[in-house]
Amino acid sequence: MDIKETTRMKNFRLFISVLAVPFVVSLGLMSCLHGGTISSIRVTPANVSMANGTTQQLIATAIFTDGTTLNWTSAVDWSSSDTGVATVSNIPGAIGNGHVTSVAAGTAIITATDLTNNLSGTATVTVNSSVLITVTPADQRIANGTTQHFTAVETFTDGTTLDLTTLVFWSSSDTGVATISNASGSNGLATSVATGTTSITATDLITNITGTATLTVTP
Amino acid sequence: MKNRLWILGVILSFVVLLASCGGSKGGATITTGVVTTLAGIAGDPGSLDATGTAATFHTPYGIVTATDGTSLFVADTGNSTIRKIDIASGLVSTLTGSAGVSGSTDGTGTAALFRAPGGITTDGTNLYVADTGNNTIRKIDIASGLVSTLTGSAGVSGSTDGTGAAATFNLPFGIITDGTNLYVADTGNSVIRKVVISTGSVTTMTVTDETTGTAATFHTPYGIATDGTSLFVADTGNNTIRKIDIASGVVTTFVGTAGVPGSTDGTGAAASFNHPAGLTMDGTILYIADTGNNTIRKAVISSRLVTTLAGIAGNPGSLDATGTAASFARPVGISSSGSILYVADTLNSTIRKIQ
Repeated sequence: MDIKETTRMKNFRLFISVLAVPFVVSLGLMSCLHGGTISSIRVTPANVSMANGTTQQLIATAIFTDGTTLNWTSAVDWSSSDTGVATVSNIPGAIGNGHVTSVAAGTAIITATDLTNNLSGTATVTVNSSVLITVTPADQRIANGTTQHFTAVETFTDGTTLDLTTLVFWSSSDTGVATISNASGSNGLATSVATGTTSITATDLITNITGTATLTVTP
Repeated sequence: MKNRLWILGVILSFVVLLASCGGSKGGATITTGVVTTLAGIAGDPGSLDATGTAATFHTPYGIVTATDGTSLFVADTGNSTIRKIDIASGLVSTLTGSAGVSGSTDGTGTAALFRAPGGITTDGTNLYVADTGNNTIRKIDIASGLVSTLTGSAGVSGSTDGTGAAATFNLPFGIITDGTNLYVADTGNSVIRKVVISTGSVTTMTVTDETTGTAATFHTPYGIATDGTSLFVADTGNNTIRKIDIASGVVTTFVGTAGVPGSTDGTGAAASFNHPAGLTMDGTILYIADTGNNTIRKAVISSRLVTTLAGIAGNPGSLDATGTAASFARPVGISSSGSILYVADTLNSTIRKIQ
């Protein structure tokens, strides 16, 4: 046990000396070498339009009082005004700090804050859904021992509809309540198993966009 | 410890050097994978006719390069229109259909209507469109813009073979021509249909699995390509690319393994895909829009070696860059002009260029 603790401490010290110390020192050095103090933080692109289901990398730039700039993406704290629309990563790595992931259609303000001086910059992210999938019936009750047929219709935002019942992948969140078929000829046919409630989901293989409905099995 | 770090540094430098050397070997085939946006605005679906990135598209699934190489035709699925892009100027225009108005009317220009058309191909004189939502195959005279229905019956879903309106389809997406016939990936029926262009006669291809000797089956095939003697099918639901010998109907799995999704580069069955939906070929190379992985893959026809040309698996985006630094969002349509690839980057609603 003691030996393990010692090894952990050693590893931690090694981590600090190899990675963290040079990182902090270099940040300090950079700010010293580049005009002394940061005057503002800029986030680019300032306005982002993205499709739901996609990600986008934002860049934070520190602007120093003498006008010089430095990439500050990994030095700031990233946050989203609405994580239901888009989330932003604070984890270092290839797909890390400043990486925005869409969640649903809407608008979110992404803020990059330099915690040492509380300066921040923002970007406006607009997430658009070009396609929606509607599963019908949306909320259905059936008696145990019976079946229910669901349909999945894809609607493009301009109103064009496409019945994709035979192409989507059907799933049931609780197969102990009802199962749903993906077999040719019976796609979307739910079969009750026991009383309870399950969520029926249709996923478009191509766009990965989903639509859901609720199925309640009664005694 | 210091020595070890130095060794690691030296090895990494060599790897980077080798990678950059490999990337710089340019040639007739597309090896570098420099990705740019030719037209459309990522994440901003619309129907605006304009030049390059000022124009907008709506979830386009299909794309084909004109035989003279000067323009592209796009099945702009979400708009229910067929768009034309002048490659040199980037000017985008609407060839036929009316954005936001779905229908099955034959006619010229905006008088003709489509319903979520998903696939497009050309023989030089005409465009042939898999009018997915109408379950029909449409023909467009490029010079006049006149649209007619070659086969299928709008609003009728089925799998009946026959001539003209007597034949029925179920959500056809992929379409390719050898000049005489059309081959259609009849996605909802999971079969390949053959349409004789001159007569409009439709038959379901009789296909035999090479391994079992029994009837071959597909699972939701979206894309199709041909070199004249073989058909290559993006067997999307199986995560494989199949090859059909047109003369004998014998089907083999060209690359990938059925039921094994992934993003591994490798040879033949060792390579894996995630719902690949788009195909095009330039004679020696098959280019694959690996839709679920958000990448563009290439497979050498002779060796079956699969590599990733652009995009990175699991990172949907719209970044213009080189190779794995670039990102796509559920790309479906893909067309080769020989030295350049054009991609309908479906979920981004853009048209990308790879060279």
